[in-house]
Amino acid sequence: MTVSTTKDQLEKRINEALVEFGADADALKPEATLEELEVDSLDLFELSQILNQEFGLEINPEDFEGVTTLGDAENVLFGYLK
Amino acid sequence: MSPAPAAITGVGAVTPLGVGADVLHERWRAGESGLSDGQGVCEDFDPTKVLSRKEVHRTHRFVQLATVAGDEAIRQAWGGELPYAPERISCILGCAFGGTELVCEQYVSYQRGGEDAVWPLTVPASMGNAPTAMLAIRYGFHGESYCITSACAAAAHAIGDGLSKLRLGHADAVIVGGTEAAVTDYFKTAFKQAGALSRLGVSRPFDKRRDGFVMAEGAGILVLEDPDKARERGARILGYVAGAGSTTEAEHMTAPQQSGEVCALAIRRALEDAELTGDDVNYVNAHGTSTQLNDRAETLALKNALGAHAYGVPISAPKSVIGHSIGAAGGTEAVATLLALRDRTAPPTIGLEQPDDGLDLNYLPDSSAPIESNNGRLVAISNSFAFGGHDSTVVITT
Repeated sequence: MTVSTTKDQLEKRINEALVEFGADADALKPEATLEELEVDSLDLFELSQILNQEFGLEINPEDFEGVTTLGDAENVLFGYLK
Repeated sequence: MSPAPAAITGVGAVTPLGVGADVLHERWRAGESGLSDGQGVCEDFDPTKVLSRKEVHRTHRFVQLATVAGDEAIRQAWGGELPYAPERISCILGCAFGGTELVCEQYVSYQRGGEDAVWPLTVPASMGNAPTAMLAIRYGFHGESYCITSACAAAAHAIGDGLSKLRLGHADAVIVGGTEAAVTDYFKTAFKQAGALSRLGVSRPFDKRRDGFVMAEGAGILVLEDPDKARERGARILGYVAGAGSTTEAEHMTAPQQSGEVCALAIRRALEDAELTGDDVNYVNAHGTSTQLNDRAETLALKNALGAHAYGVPISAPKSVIGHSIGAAGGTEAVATLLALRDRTAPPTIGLEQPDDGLDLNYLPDSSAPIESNNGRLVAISNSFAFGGHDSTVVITT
C-alpha cells in the first residue's frame, strides 16, 4: 500500500465517519471549521477510535489541540501514516 | 412546606400506542392495545422527527424517547421561548435501566478487542442522567437536574420531587417524568427469570389468568410550574399535581407486601399531601401490572386507603394496553391520568375477562366509563409500585 493510496483511504473514511456522526456531506471541505461542521471533541475521540481499529493506527486525540479546520485535522491524521 | 399544587402546563408521551399524549389517551379510551407478540414496542417512533442526526447517533433510545416526549410537553407549555430564567427551570426524570444493555455490549467488545474496541460515547450515551442532560442542553435549563432510579416507581418519584422543588421555591418550573427502552431479549429474560414476566405474553391486570407483565418501552413527561407564576403569565393550565406520597415496604426485594398496607400508606400520604381524603378520589390509574402478587396487593391497598369508596370508583390499568415500561411507567401513566380527567373519561382495563377471587373493585373491564364528581373538580390517583418495595402515588386533579 502506497502512502498516497492510504491517504486517500483515510480521507474517504474520515468523511464517511463524520457523515455518520451527523455532519452534512456537502460541507466537508478542508477549509470548513470544525465548529461549522459541529465536530467536537467527542467526534474526534470517536473518529480516532474508528481509524485506530480499521487502519491499525495509534492516534493520540490530544494531537487535535489547536486544530480548527477539517483540513488541519486531516493533516494531523495523515501524520500517523507510515 | 405549603401544600400548594403544581400546575401542569404541558404533557408529552411516546408509548406503544403511538407518538403523542393525545394518541395514548384516544387509543386507550377506544380500547385499543399497543401490545403485540408479547411486548410493547413504540413502532411509530422516529427520533429523527425531533432529534438531529448527530443527536440520534450519540444517544440511546431511552434518551431519544425522553427527548421526543419532552419536546412535545415543552412546546405545549411554552412554545419556543422559556418563560422563566434558565436557572429557575429544573429537570428530574426517572429510569430504571437507561443504557445498561449498551454497557453490557461494550463490556463484551472490550473483552474481545481491548481498549480500541470500546465506543467512546459509551458513558454519555448510557448514563441514566443522559435524558435530563439532553433536555437541558436542547432547551438551556440551568436549574438542578438529575435522574431517579427506583425501578417502576422512578417516574412517580420524579413527579413527587418536582412538586417538592416548586413548593420549596427552588424552581419556577420542573420537567418531570420517566423514560425507558429496555424491550430486549436480555431484559425480558432477566424479568422472566425473576418470575415477573408473562410467559404467555399477555397483559390482563386483575384477571384470574394473569401470569405476569408484558415488557414495554416509552416515555412520559410533564411540565410542572409554580401555579401562581403560571397564572401570572397567562398559561393554559391543564391540571395539577396536587400531592405525592411514597413509602418503602422493607420486606422483600421483588414481592410486594401481600397485605398492601405500606402501599396504602403511600396512597394516604399522597392524599393527605393534597389535603384530600379517599372519598374525594374520582378515578384510580392503577399500577396493575398483571402479576399475581401486585394486583392482589394493590387491590387490598386501595380498599385500605379508600375504604368503602374503593368499590365504586372507576379504576383502570394502562399496562393492559401499553405494557410495563418500568422507569417510564409513572410518567406515561400520569399523562394518561391527566387526559382521562380532562375528558372525564376513564379508559378500560383491556383483557380483563375473569376477575380473580377477591379482586372485586370497579376495574372497568369492558369499556370506558365517565369520571364524575359532586363538586366539579376531579381527583385521581396514579399508583406506582416497584421492585425494592418502593411505593409511590401521585394525586392529579383538574
